[in-house]
Amino acid sequence: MVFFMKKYIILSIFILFFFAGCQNEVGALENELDNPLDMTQVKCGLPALVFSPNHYDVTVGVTFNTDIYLMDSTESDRWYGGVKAVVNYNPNKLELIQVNGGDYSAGSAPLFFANDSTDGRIEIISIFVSSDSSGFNASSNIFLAEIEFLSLSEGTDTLAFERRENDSCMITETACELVDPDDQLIFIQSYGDGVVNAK
Amino acid sequence: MKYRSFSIYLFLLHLNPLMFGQNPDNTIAVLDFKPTGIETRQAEKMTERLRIQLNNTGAAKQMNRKWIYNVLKREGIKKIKCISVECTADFGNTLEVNYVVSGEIIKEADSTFIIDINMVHVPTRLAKKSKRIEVIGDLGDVVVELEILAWNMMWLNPPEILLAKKRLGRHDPDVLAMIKPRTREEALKRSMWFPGRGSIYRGNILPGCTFIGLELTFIGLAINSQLKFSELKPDREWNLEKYRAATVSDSIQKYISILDKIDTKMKKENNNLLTYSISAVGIWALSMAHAYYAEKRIDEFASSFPLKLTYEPLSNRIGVRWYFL
Repeated sequence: MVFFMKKYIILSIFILFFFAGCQNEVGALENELDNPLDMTQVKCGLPALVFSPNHYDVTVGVTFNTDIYLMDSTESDRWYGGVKAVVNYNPNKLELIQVNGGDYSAGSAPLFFANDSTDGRIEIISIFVSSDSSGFNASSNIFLAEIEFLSLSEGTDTLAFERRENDSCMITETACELVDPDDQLIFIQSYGDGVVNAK
Repeated sequence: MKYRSFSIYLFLLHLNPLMFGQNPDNTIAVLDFKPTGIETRQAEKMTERLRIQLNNTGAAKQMNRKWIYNVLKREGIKKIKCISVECTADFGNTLEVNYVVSGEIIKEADSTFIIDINMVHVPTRLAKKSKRIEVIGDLGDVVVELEILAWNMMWLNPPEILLAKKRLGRHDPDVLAMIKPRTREEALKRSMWFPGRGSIYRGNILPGCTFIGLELTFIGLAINSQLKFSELKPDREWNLEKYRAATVSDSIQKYISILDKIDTKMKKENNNLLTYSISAVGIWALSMAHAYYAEKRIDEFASSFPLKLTYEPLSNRIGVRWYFL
């Protein structure tokens, strides 16, 4: 009798756990929202220069493209006249193939330059010159440039915008520039670097 | 040799029912017994006990009560007033069955009952079995007699338990020992396998059925929530992919808003799933407790008050009957 009861108690516990375990795992949405172009992901404010996507899993010996964007709020009423983005990378791990202009260089008289004379450094300058000199409204994300790299060796490398900053979003020095149509400097609040993981 | 003996045995086994016209393909309908001196409800319940035993014999295909009365109602017969052979055969024709059983239960005195029963062969309009039995005792004894009659009508020997009930009395310790007691422990075991079974086993039909109904409802609702949750999952994945690929701020915001809504729905369904699952477990536990602690509901004909004041019509005497378990 005791044996039987023990068996049924075990069965009851099993049933209890079976039903009590009837719940699905729902991951927090906030942890899954990782688009670098999402305004809510930018911690140090706007405007910002970012790589999108910000993570690249690549194979050694294979080329891949990275895109640089200028981000601003959808409610922004700022106008931009030009931008200079300086990107640093490890030349032992990546080889620059080419740089193509983005939306910013698609105006009536675009000016787009890319200087890669220094190993591991690309200087991209994009200037928007229109007939009325009104510039470019940045109420959305602006596609600045597309850079094509060749992965040379295994390991992780960072595609970093050239700057010096402390931990609390304070930029002390930067080679990147953003100007309005009157050539007045606009402070770039945030930078979103890209990480390349080559295998 | 062994095979031949076995064949002869099988032949003889089948010969007995064939000789007496037993055929499981024969259809039989049992009409509610006419109550005289007892309540209609009691007569109906006792007829039902006869039907159960007839089913147990397996000698004929029995039509259920609901079907019988639906057919009679359709034919414009509202109440069965006669129990004569001719009248019963007419009902049999209407029902299109091979046999019809009708009868009457008469309360002659406090402890004296008469069972009048006819089994009519419809095609020949002949009474194949006709009995009038006097039962001294209570309604429980009448039921025992009816149960034995069910087997006799099919030319079969009643089970030992029924004969023992008649011979020794329903409350005789030997008879009670033959009936497996419906213990709390046994009821608990049954309820552990599925809610409500233990309560039904102990005779508490309504709570038992309620437990089964509630359990099935909660399990159904839990499955429904799980299905809804599963339907939302691919939608969430698709929108998350779109969000990750989006480069325009408005599109990103649009996908965040969609994902938020999907996430809220998924959380709601997940909470529902947990609530229904816990409720199902709760019902299960409650059913087990009910099976164990609820009082056993005793068959209304199986027992009666142990002390009884009686009137004996033959000797014209009033007496007291009693029994001890």
